[in-house]
Amino acid sequence: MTENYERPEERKSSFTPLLLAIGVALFFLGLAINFPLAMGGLAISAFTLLKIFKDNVEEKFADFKESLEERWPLEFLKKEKLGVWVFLMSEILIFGSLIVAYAYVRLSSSSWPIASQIHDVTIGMVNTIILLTSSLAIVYGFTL
Amino acid sequence: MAHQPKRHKLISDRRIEIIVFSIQEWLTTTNHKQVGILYIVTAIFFMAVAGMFGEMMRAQLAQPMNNFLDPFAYDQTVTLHGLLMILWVLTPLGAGLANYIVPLQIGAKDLAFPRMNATSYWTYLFSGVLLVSTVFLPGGGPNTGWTLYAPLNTIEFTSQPGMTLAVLAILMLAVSITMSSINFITTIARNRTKGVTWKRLPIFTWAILFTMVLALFAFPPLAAGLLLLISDRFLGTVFFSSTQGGGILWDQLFWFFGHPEVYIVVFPALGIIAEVFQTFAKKTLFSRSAFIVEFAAVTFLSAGVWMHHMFTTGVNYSVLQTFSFTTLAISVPFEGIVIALVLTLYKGRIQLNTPMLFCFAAIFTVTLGGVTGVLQAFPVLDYAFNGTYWIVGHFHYVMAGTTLFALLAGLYYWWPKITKRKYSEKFGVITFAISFVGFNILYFPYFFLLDMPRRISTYTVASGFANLNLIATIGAYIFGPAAALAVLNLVVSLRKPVSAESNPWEAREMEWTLSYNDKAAEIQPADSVGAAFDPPDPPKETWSSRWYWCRTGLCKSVEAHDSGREAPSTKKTGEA
Repeated sequence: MTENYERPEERKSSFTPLLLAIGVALFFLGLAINFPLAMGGLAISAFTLLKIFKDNVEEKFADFKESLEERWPLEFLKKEKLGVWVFLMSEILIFGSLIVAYAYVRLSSSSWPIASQIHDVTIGMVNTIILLTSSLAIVYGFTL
Repeated sequence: MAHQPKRHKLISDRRIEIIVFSIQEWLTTTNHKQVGILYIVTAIFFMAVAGMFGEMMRAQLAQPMNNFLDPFAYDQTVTLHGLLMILWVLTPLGAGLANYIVPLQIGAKDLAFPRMNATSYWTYLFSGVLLVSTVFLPGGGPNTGWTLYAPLNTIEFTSQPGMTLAVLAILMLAVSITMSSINFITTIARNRTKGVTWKRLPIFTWAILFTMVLALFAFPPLAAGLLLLISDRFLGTVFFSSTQGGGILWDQLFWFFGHPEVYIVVFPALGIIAEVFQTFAKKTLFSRSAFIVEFAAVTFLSAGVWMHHMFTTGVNYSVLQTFSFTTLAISVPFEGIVIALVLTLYKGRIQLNTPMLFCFAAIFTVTLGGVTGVLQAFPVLDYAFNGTYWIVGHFHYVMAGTTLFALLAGLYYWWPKITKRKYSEKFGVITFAISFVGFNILYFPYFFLLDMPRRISTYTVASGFANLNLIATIGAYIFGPAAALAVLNLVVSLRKPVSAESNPWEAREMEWTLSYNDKAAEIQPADSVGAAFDPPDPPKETWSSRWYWCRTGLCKSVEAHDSGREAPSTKKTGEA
């Protein structure tokens, strides 16, 4: 028999969303008003993120199976993966905007210093190499 | 059952237990229905706060040379009214309804990431609390207008901590909305139940999908701008205080977010209007696939119109031409959407319930607001109107009129779904009539205040603005309480007993008709529901209507009707 769409609700409760939001709010409030408060907010956020990580490792919120699904054209993607891809798209736009802002500032300035005048080029190069090789190491970590 | 405790003792203990349990449950919930209700309640709370700010502004402007608010207080009121209404009321109210309705419409058990959904709600709530709390900080809140134009937003001009906190609060909201959009896009792409193909996806879900795609690309530029602003305010960089393009840089980043934001606010409203028209005219949406393509076209084009907010900043002639053209181009699919909505009513069996009336009001205001907006696509007219009350009138007709009326319609429409109770229809119609009249008394005079600059805290007697401003203030004090009564009508209905009717509108969309199979412990595949997709009246008149039904993918039921077989019953719920 079928009832009108009233399925038993599966309620999974967690304090982490509330705590994380409180932590971030305290952090921002502290940044604007007094600094120790910001540290407290940061501590709460860090603690909550650890708790979320722990929950994930223990698979406390592992999804119940969705037996009937219409997924075209994304059958090949896990939903976590799709979520991260979508998130990366928004990241592209944030960093794209920042790079465009940099280009805009540079183009509209009447003079622009040479990089070596304000930065140490050697340290910059070392940092870049470390950054690039670290992602290389991650890729190797996955493939090996 | 050896010992029976005293009855009154039992009740009081139990009651406390229930209260504690339910508070804990609401604080920790990750269920999409509960989060949706939290969103709606919070958005209505912020609407009340922002509405109070609006009423204060109108009180100040009622008389020339009025002293009700000093200029600094007035500036804060303008800023907070704008920021709260656009970012903390209209956007989340649509998201709240979507939270409740979208999983039901696609037959998903929940959103794809329920915990992240709860996180975006709490982040939204606390960001709003932070923004409102800026008023109580020493030095006051932000006083720059909701656009936070540079270099007014830098530490030289607004050194109060309230301004810093407001910037951080907006960043927090941007994070919350980005999380929501990731969640909704993944859910709609990935968690549909069997039979809910893209072709059959309900129109409100389509609208939410495009809203979230827009939010995904509109909010990051704002976040980038805010990050640069934060670095200006904390680290002493000069991105926006620079005299070489600092102000224009903020304009670019802000309006690249700002114009799509209009569509982020309006799309859920249009989705709701489509759902309500389908249900109360007992017809399928006119040109359903074209409607969706028009949504896609608006989404695509909205990334290329932001410069029309900057015509008067001294941009060169070719930019004026390009963005004048794109602005006119985006109005074409938008008009297509409105025309499709109106044509849905053609030959429909129209029931004038409260949601329907609110949607009529929304169609009226989107037409007027749209026409007055398209005029600004022409740089010549934009030079004349820019920064006047004409603009204020235009965007209030679109934002306050269309979106607010349509969201109220959505709230009324889905109220029986959410609470299983019927509101008072009579009272709903009365509050609709008063609020619609009040709305027009409030905002129509703005179109005649062509010379009055925006955001001025007062004006002289000699300017001649007094009469129209007084009329607008009277309208404000009709519209505000009437809108509050419209919400109150819903709240009062919570005292009524639960009604047995599960589908009081005889709606055919999936949130009403999709059913749950107890034995298989899973949601019925949409294929076997059938009724949800059948045309209410199998058309029989002409070949053209037949062609139309076939175009909308409903041929099967038409053929079934023609061959004399009985079409699947649509009255299942009435019998149960």
